[in-house]
Parts: sequence; C-alpha cells; structure tokens
Amino acid sequence: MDDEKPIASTTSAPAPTSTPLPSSSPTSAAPIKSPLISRRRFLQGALAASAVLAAASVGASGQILGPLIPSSATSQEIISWTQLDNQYQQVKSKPSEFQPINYSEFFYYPYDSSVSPYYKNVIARLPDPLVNPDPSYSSDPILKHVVAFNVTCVHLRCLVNPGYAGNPGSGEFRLQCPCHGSQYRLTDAVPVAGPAYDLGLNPLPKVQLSVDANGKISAIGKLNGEPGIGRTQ
Amino acid sequence: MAAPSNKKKGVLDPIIALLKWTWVRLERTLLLGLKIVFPSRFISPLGFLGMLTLIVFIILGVTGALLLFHFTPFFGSCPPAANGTSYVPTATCNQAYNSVQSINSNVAWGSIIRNIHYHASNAMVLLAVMHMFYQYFGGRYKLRYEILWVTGIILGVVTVIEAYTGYDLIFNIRGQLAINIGQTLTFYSPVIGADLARIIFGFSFNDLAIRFYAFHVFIIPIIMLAIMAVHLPRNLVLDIPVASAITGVILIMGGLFPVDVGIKYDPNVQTQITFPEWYFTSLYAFIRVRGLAPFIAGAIIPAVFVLIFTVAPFFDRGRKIAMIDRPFWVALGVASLGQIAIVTVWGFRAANPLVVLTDPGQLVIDPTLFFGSLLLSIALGYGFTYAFVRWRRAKIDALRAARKPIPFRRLQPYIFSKSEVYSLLGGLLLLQAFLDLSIFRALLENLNNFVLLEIGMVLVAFAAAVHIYRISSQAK
Repeated sequence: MDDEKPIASTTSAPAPTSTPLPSSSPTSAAPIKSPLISRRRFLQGALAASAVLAAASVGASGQILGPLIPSSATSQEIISWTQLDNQYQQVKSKPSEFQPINYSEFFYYPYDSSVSPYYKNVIARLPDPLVNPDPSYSSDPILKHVVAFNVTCVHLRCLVNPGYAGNPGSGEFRLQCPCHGSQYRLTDAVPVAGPAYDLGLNPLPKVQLSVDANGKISAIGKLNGEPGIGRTQ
Repeated sequence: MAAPSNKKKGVLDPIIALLKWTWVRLERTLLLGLKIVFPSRFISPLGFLGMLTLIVFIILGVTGALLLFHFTPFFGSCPPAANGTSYVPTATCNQAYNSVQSINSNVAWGSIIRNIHYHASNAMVLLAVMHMFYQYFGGRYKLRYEILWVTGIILGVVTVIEAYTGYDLIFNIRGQLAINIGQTLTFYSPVIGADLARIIFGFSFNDLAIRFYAFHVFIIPIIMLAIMAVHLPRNLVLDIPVASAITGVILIMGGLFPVDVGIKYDPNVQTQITFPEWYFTSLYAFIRVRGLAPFIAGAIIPAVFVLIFTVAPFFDRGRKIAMIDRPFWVALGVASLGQIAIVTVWGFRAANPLVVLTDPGQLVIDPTLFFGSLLLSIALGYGFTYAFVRWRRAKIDALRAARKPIPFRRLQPYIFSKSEVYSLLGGLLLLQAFLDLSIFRALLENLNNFVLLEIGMVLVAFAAAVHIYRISSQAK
C-alpha cells in the first residue's frame, strides 16, 4: 500500500500543472501567458474563504455568553443628615464607643443587594475637623462633612470596613481590608498602606452624593469607577 | 487461558464464565478497543496512577451527580441592616451555602456523599500530580509519548480548574476568597480581561453561582472527557485490589477528617483570614508577595511553570529515558518539586512562616525573603541532584569498564501456604462481617464519620481478599 501511494500521486499530480504549460499546446504560435493564479490555488483560496465566511456567519453568537445586566438605579436615598450626624454626636465624647462603624452606614448602590456584594458602599460622617476634599462638596454645609465609597477592595475584592489606623481612637480614620490588610484614607479613599498601597492602585470608587432641602442624602449617577478594579487597563 | 479439565469446580466458576462470555462480546465494542489488563500479580501502582486518577474521576462523577439533587446554585440577596439597627442575617442570603449546609446536616447520607466527593477531589488532584511526576522522572514524555504528555498537562490544569469551580460553589468565606482572587486575575488579563471576566463570572452573584454550577457539573467534565479520549493510552491496567484500596482510603480519610461547610459568606459580616485549598496555596503565596502584581503572581508565574513542563519533550531529544542518563531533567524535576513544596507550605502560613498569624497585615510576604529562599532551594535541589546523578553514572560506567556485575536487588514474591490462605481469607471475611454490622449500627445512630470509616475499611479488606485470591489461585 505504502509503496504504491507515491506512484499514484506522482502520476496524478502533474496533470493539472502541466495543462497551463505552453509545451502542451505546440500548435499555438505565441506561448500562452501563465495565468495570474493557478486553478488549484484559486479553488483552495475560494474554499478557505468560504469556510471563513461560514464560520463568521455565527461568529456573533458568542454574545449568548454575556450575562444579563440588570438596570441600575440613577438615584437612591441613603440616610438623613440629622440621623448620620446624631450617631456621630452621641459617641463623640465617649472614647469606648467612638468607633467609625458607629457613625457610618452601609448601603447598596447602584444595584441592590440581590445583585452583587461588590456594589456595597459605605457613607461616613467625617470626624471633625476633617472635610471632604472634593471641591464640588466643600461649599455645601452638609456634604462637606460626608464621604461615600464603594467598599470592594481594589487589591483582591474583599469588602473593606471603616476603622482606625493603629490603636482604636487614634483619630486616624481609615477603611481597612480584613483579608490582606490594605488601608484607605477615609477622606478620599486613596490607598495608604498594605498591598493596595504597595501596588500603587487607584482609590476606591466614589459614590456621588446630593442633599435635598430636608437634609436627605442621596446617591446619584454612576460610581466613578468599576468596583474592585484598581488599575486602569 | 483454557482451564485444564481435571481442575475442580469452584463456586465462582459460573459467574466467571458469564463475565468471560460478556467480555468476549464486549470486544466487538469501542470499549475494548482499549486493551485493559487485569494484572495477575501485584505490580507497583506508580505505573498506573493515571488509571487510578480515572477511577477517582468516576467516583467524583457518581457522588457529584448525587449532590446535584440537593444543591441550589443561587446566591440570593443580603440586605444590610436598616439604619440604626443591628444586622440580622436573612434567610434569602447565600442560599447556595444554606443548601450545602442542609446536605451536610439534614439530607440522609448527605454528609457521607459530600465527604467522599471532597476527599476524592483532593485525591484526584494529588494522583494527577503524582502521575505526572512519575511519568516525568520515568522519561515517558518523549519518543512518541509527546501527545500523551501534552494532553496530560492540559488535563491536569483543567482538573485543578474543575476543583476550583467546585469549592467556590459552597460560597463559604474560603470559596469567596477564591472567587475574589479569580475574578481579579481575570479582570487584569490584558485586552480581553473585562469581557472574559463577564463571561466566566457573570455580572451578579446569581450569575456567578449558576455559571460555576454549569462549568463544574457539565462544561468542564465534558472537556475533561474529550481530552481523556486523546489522553488514554491504548493499554490500560485495571488493578481491582489497588482501585478498591484507593477508594477505601478516600472513605477512611473522609471518616477521619470530615470536611465541614466552613464559615458562611455574608457581605454584611466582616470576613476572616482564610486560606485556599492546598493545591492553591502555592499561588496564594505568590499573590501575597509585596509589590508583585496579582496577574503576574497568579497567572504568569504558574503559566511559565506549566509551560516549562509542557515543552520538556521538545527539548529533551535524547534517545535514553533512564533517570541516570538524564541528569539535567531529573535535577530540574527535583528542583521543581522542592519549589512546589516550599510555596505550598508557605501559602498556609504568615509572611514569616515560623510565626503564628494574628493580623491580615502579616500575610504580605517580603519579596527578598521569598524569592531568595526559592532561588536557594532551586540551586541546592538542582545542584545536589545533578551531582548525584552524574556520580551514579560514573560509578556504573566504572563497574562496566571493569567488567564487574552491576548490583541490583530483586524481591522474591512470597507465596502463601494453604493454611495461611485459609486463615487470612477467613479473618478478612470475619472482619468485613463485623464492619458491616457496625456500619449498620453507626447508620442507626447517625454516626456518619464511623459509617465512612468503616465502609472504607471494608473496601480495603475487599482489596486484600482479591489480592490473596489472585496470588493464591495461581500457586500450585
């Protein structure tokens, strides 16, 4: 079998290539110009193109792999200023209870808690004399005392919690990651310690706030960043 | 094979005849395109670790199918406490975990099946790694073994991914840590990262649960079967005693070290320091190195490591496969085993592996210490192995040159006498009967760990009985 194969192929193979040769038609005076592309090459090319086009016809079907993204809220009431401030004023003078967790609140935005823990955020009443460094808030009498951030750590996506750097009551208010010890400054959520700081990652996404005439604080618009993404791609 | 006519008839003869009849007819099917050998004497299980991995895969398939009946791939909603009140966990939060917990505590036989599934998954990863290193040191990755080798590496990686999707489905804090890290690594992969993460993890946590469920119970097992179709060699060794003993050991491990459900993941409760499963602590050690980007630590470094093994047959072109003729490759294998051991153990520990972990800040590993010790161990492991192999080679060459015989040991098989066979088999049967009774008792009293332990021991006893049968039925 194996001995016969090459013979069979040598007898059949030259046949198509020999046809365009000028020697095969000795009667014609002028030699026929060799064609731009041989028949075999043309057929193979057409076959390949056809296969590519056939595959391309269902190429977009990969979209079925994409998840369904629920509609996001465009604004959501979080808490009233008086309630947030009261919590702060009550514990301010008691060192044992003066824990950041006591004057901050968690909420889910712009997707509710059934969607993903990664959309959990914290709103905190900044302990005096800290003020929100964002220039658009610094003129507002209420919002300059308030910050709100997404709590998904940009290092490896654990959920951070408000706490103090070092000793309790040290006054240096930070957001701390319980998994690998990343710490974020409370006023602007910039990483100041731990792996997120070592890697030079972005701050936690900020929740944009607004306040109405009754002192109700609401989250509005989108987060200024993707939760858990600490690096611009 | 034809039995001599003067042989006395045994009790099992009709059954054996029926099995033979079936076997001969099965040869017309695809199934016996594989040449399956039932060894008639004990051979080292190291030679058929791959077959044992396949057997454990089948155990995983069966137990996994049973767990499907009770598992809920749904995360639910975990609302935080209303303003000014303290947080109360809701029943709608983390329903996947709730269902695993109910499998473990309420479902009849649930904890037994889950324990077998868990310990079999560990056994499968372990057996696959052992199988790979045995074939590596035996030089069976080149000389027409290349496709078996490369598909084997792919199968090993897919096995680990399958284990990963499995333990994430529990949605305890350990699974949650793995999900967080996996998602971060995927997001950071270049160009397609964000799209890939959306496809693998979905958008919401309910997407994640249902996607990982689909991956774990259908997509990845199908991929594994497809790769196995290429990876299975045509000659297989099915050693009933060893297969039965391995199954028994898995059950015994389940009885001795029952797996719990872990701490429930609830986004409103502060998580705790936790470590991944042992086959991922190596990656976890790299991820925790200070200043090392997670994608490099968790994806590039392991990929390079796997790639070095994948391309080994294309660089080791020698015709010789004995360890003694391949000092470079043997030393490379020993050095890599050392690396795996160090990073795996370090992954479980604080940054300084000698101190007790109390604070998450202690997890961050100093790169100089970490990579310094890895380089030192590579140098030592590689250097000593290389020198040893060369020294052995020189010694054998010297013996050969002096025309002296090369010493080697051979163990003579021990043949049981008739009375020994009777007493051993009788004792094993008594042991099994006793164990069966105590399994029944343990079942009545809901002592699941005892049930597992004792079923495992019965299987080991069965393995011993089959082994005694096969060696004694051949002795004159």
